[in-house]
Amino acid sequence: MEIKLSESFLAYKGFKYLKISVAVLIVTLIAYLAHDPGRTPNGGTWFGYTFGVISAGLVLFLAWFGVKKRQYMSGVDLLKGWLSAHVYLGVLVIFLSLFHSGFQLGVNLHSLLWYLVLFTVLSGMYGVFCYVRYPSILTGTRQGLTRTEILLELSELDLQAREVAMGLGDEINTVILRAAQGTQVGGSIRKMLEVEPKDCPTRLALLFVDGTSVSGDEQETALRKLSAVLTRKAELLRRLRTYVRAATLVRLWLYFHIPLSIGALVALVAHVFAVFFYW
Amino acid sequence: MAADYKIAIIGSGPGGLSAAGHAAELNISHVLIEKAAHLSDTLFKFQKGKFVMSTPDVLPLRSPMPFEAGKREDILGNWDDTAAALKVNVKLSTEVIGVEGEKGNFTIKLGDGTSVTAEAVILGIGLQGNLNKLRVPGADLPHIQYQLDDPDEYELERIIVIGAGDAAIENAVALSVRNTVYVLNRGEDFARAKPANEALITSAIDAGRIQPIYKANTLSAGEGTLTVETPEGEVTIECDRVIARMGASPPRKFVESCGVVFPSDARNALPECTEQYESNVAGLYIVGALGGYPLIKQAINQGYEAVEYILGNAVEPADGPILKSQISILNTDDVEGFLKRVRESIPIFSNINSLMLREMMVESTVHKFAPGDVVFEKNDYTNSFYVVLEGAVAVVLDENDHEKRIVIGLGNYFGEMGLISGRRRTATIKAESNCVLIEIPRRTMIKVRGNSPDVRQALDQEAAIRQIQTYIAPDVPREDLIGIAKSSEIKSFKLGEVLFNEGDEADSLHLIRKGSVSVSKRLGGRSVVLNYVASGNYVGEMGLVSNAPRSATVTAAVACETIQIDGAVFKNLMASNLKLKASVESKFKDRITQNERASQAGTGGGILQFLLEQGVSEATDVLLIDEALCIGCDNCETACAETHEGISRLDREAGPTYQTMHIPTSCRHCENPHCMTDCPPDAIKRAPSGEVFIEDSCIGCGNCARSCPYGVIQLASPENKKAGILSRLFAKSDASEKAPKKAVKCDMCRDIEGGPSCVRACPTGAAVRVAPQALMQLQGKAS
Repeated sequence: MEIKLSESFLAYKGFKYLKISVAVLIVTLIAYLAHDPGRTPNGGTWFGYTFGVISAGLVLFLAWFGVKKRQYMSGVDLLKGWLSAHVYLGVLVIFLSLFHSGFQLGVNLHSLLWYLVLFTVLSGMYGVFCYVRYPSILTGTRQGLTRTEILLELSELDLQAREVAMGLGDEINTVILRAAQGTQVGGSIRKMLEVEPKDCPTRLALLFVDGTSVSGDEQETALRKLSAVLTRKAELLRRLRTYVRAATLVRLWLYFHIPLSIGALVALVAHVFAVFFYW
Repeated sequence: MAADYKIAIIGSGPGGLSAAGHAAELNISHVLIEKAAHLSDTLFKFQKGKFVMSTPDVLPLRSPMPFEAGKREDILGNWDDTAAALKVNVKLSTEVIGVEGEKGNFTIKLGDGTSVTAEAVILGIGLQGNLNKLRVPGADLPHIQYQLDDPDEYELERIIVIGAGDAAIENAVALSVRNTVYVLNRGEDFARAKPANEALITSAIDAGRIQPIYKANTLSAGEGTLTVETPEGEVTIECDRVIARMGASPPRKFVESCGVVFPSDARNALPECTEQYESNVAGLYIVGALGGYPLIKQAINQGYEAVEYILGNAVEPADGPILKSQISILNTDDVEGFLKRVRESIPIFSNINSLMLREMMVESTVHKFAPGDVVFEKNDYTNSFYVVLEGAVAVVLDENDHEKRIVIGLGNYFGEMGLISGRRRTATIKAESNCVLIEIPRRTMIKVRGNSPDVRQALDQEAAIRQIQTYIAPDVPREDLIGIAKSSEIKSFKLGEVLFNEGDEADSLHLIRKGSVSVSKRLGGRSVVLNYVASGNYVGEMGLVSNAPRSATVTAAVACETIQIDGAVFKNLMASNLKLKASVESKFKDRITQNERASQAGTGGGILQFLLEQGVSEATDVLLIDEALCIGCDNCETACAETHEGISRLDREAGPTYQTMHIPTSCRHCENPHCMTDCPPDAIKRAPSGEVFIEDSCIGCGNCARSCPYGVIQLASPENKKAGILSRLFAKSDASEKAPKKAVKCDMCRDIEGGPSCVRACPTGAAVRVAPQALMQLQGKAS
């Protein structure tokens, strides 16, 4: 039994924008196929102009999402509705702009615009994939704990490890101290994406402890305890790093999507300018 | 022989000081005698920096002595300055040991053997001059003290605080920051204190900052020790300091020696006075706490009025103009006549004292309605109480059928369900004829009910009848219900307390009038929650209908009140009323089906249980996050901060999660908001549409934040308006200009078009707001 309280942006109002996009695509495709421009299809015919204007308008609308997202005070509509439209109309714009140009692509400013739009949309599609894939990982790894709580528990485990290590040799103490002070979560992009880094001091400490043998009951008990504490810490770290990786990936694509979209906007202005003044 | 002074004023508290100030400004010969070396000793002994309230807020101040809510130091400073400016004739460090004589010729004997004479005496000595002290051997040792001026004076000491009242708690908590503190409590809890203080000390004890000793009696004190009797036996505790805060009582011996009579022997009895504050000794007036007026503002006004009365002037009470404006809608300015009419025509108010009645009227509103006017609508969240002073109103039972209505006539009242359950209005009320209604705010009415047992009893009984009629037996004539109501009992249950257990004998029916309960059953060795029942519904009918033992266990999901109706009486009623019988039986069948479905569904019980454990059942609107959709972008928090002075009122990540349902830390707008219970300036309000919000009058005391069990209220300074990027880059930062801290919480974006910005700003649709009742009922039905 499951109660559906929430509705994903993809399913917004019963896939309203998906339906609109598909309908528009079908109608325009038929129109494109039926239309005979009388010469090679291109953006300069009345048909091409019409599609050019529609596509440019759509690109501006898609870019407006960046502004809309930050307008917290105004508007009664839900941002998820806007995102839904942003996603489906974004895919549509690839096709409409192809109809505009009559599928002419080359190596020039005008084609650059199309490629920029294409890559913006592709990065966005990857974003949608992230938005579907990662939320459950974000939740699953935390298991009800907040990041702060996980960090607190980690430092608690460090204290425990150092306490237990007191009764063991200097070498172990050095390794444990390094595990407590040198273990890092995140940092560079590469680090943020690594779930089980080979050079993690905690991992190394665990390997070292498990490879050490001591004599005497007390020492053995301490060693076993130390191994248990470090194993717990390693597991917690793995979870935290999985979380960090997911949280990074869920944002990382935006570092491509937004610069690309700005590039597309600039190229759009250049394209329109070029068309009207130099054609 | 002419007296030395026209008026002698004993005690320089708010009442005495105000009287002396007024006499001084009128150039009347007077003397103000104060035992301490400074004015206003009681206030002087308040904890340093204590915020002093100026309730009742609406009451105007009439005195040369200024007074508004503020810090102890500021208030005392203002009074000293004003007394000096008015040239008040004050004798400090002078004790009065007796008052003799009669009107026109009183002799006031002083501690130094001299005396002064006066024509009239105003006694304003309060209660705090007579603190209750330890009566054990060693009570006079220097490490025992009865007040605490500045808790920061002490450091690294072992301190024992004796007492369980507000002063003891405030002292103990403040001291616990830098000292080891024990609290000696004669009882087992701190229920006597204000709810916020109770929460404060409970959390300090839980956190180990204060060590309580319950059921403790002080036996003796020695050098640096205190010996205490506890249930475990006698213990001697070493300590650097003992602070005994055991309240105060009237200095009865002294007052009686002046000839004043007390009406009873009770320790806290107060002398009786006329409406002009004159005691049984003509010419001797009593003002302030000793006369039964414990609030500073009241005492200040009394001081002024007492001087006027001594001069033979008639004074209109300070609240007169307010009351006049309240009743101006009736085209009259006869306040006394109006109050008399209220008392005579409204039975529940016939016995309350005039001070309380006036105070109540000051806070109330008089309305006039024409036939057909709507007083309030069904499902409004308003919660004031109404009495009918003229004409009649009707409870609309069926919007389309004018005949289906209950008429409430002169002297009767309505809206009392809001006082109890905190739920939406259950019905629309329309004026039946031209009528005059008095609308009393919920808080005021609760105060009146709390202070007057008569009012309480009358309200409770009538409420029981009406609730049974509304929720169980709408077709049973009222007369038949009176007996049922009389034989029924109002029961309170704490969170988690069991109303009845599976397998118990079914001997009664519970109508839930406040809170909500969960129904659970043992299945396969573990307890599974099957259902949730909100106030306005009944439980326990299954056993009565089927004549079988209880089929499930019912537990209070939050603090509850129920009307427990005797099983035999109820069965009789069912036998005589077929419609009732049919309705109860159909409910019975619904319940069986519902319970059966829920127990088969398995996992459903888990989520229901989770929601109940999180206290969602007392919420009216809760923010949930679907973790299967949340990408952790925190746009909800950003939106909240952007729309609320830079401070987010929700913490997305914090809070419990069950499967993919996450309850972030954010206000749930409880039915009976915990935060509202103890707000000194009454700044927390509930809007008709349900949202609980904090008004600008907040003083930042933090009571609400401590009372909230869900940790959703923070104290924060609102950020200054966001500066433009250029000024942020070049202007010097000015952190010192931060506004004082105030309590902030979710207000459901009540001033913003489009509703809660957290939900609007969620890009993926993970954030939703739901009414838990709908949610849980949905849960019960789905399978």
